Amino acid sequence: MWYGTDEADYSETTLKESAMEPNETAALVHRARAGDASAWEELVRAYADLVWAVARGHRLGAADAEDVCQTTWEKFARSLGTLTDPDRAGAWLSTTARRESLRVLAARNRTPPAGDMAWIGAAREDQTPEEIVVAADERLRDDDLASRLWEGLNRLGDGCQRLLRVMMAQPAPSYAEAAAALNVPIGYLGPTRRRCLEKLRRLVRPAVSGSLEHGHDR
Amino acid sequence: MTGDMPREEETGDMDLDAALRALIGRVDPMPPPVGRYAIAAFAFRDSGEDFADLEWDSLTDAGVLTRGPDDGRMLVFGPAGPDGIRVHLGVTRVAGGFEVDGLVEPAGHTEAVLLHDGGAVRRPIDVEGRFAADLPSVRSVRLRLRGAVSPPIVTAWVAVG
Repeated sequence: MWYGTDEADYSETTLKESAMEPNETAALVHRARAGDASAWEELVRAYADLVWAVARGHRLGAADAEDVCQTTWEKFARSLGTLTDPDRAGAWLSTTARRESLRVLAARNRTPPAGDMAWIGAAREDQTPEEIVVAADERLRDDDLASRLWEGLNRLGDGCQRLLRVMMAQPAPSYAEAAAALNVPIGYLGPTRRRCLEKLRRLVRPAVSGSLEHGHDR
Repeated sequence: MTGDMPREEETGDMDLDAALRALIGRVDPMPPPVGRYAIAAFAFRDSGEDFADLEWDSLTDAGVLTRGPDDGRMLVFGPAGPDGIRVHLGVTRVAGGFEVDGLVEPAGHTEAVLLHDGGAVRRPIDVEGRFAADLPSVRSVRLRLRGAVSPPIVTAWVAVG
């Protein structure tokens, strides 16, 4: 884990760290093009959670998010031979997942529910938003920090919720991948992410006792 | 990202970023089947079919003046294959499902298989490239076009319901 001495530096370093460097990604794409299934599996390991995070960041329920993931990965496989920038495969996946998510939202004639994070725990389509939030609360009840973080996330605006949800993909997306997922300029990310995290800190802080304070504490 | 959330007394040096990741890992992990499907999707790399991606969608691409009736939607897939095949699909929501009207340009395929999340519907394509079908209330649809001479074509999945 990287411990920074400055919140700004830490945030940007975390943001830049991703599973692979662009040249590594390109190498895997070339190998997958040639039929190397293990290279494809490495690409899946690197980006599957990001694709899921993009879909969930658009407040899609579990079934719709799974559809978006399936469509995105199929398109990626079919496009392997024609990708013009193999080193940007992660951003390609993010962009495709975002577009598919928007299309699903439009088709369902759905306006994403604003406010609480009911969508994030939707394991079953038949769960009501209230049941989902209660279920998440139950899972976290034995962990005070997690509960307060969860409560804080629920109180953030839609923009911060989507940005943070994408950023929470594992491995963390690169600048380019996150920007593609959110359809924002790369330069927007760092300052906005810091602002969202600071908002979250303020929401969580009253009972935190400084445990999540700025990086210089560490 | 696995394991228990760190206890508060252990988070003195734990950053908010990592705490959020651990939180999401508990409340919204990617379901394993999603990862398995992604791995299996490698097979699409060489499926033997020409792929017709969604090129235009009236739901998201049409301006106000060209938008159709509220319940009607126009989709265009393609171009696909060496002949640049395009498939125009009109999807109209009706009681109990959807009415689908299709046009394949240039004509040549003889059968349209409309795959949906509940099964499949097969319809003949006439010499002008037209076909029609009724679908139940489904979530997503894709087409496979077959013909004695024309190479098989598959379209992207599209969410309709």
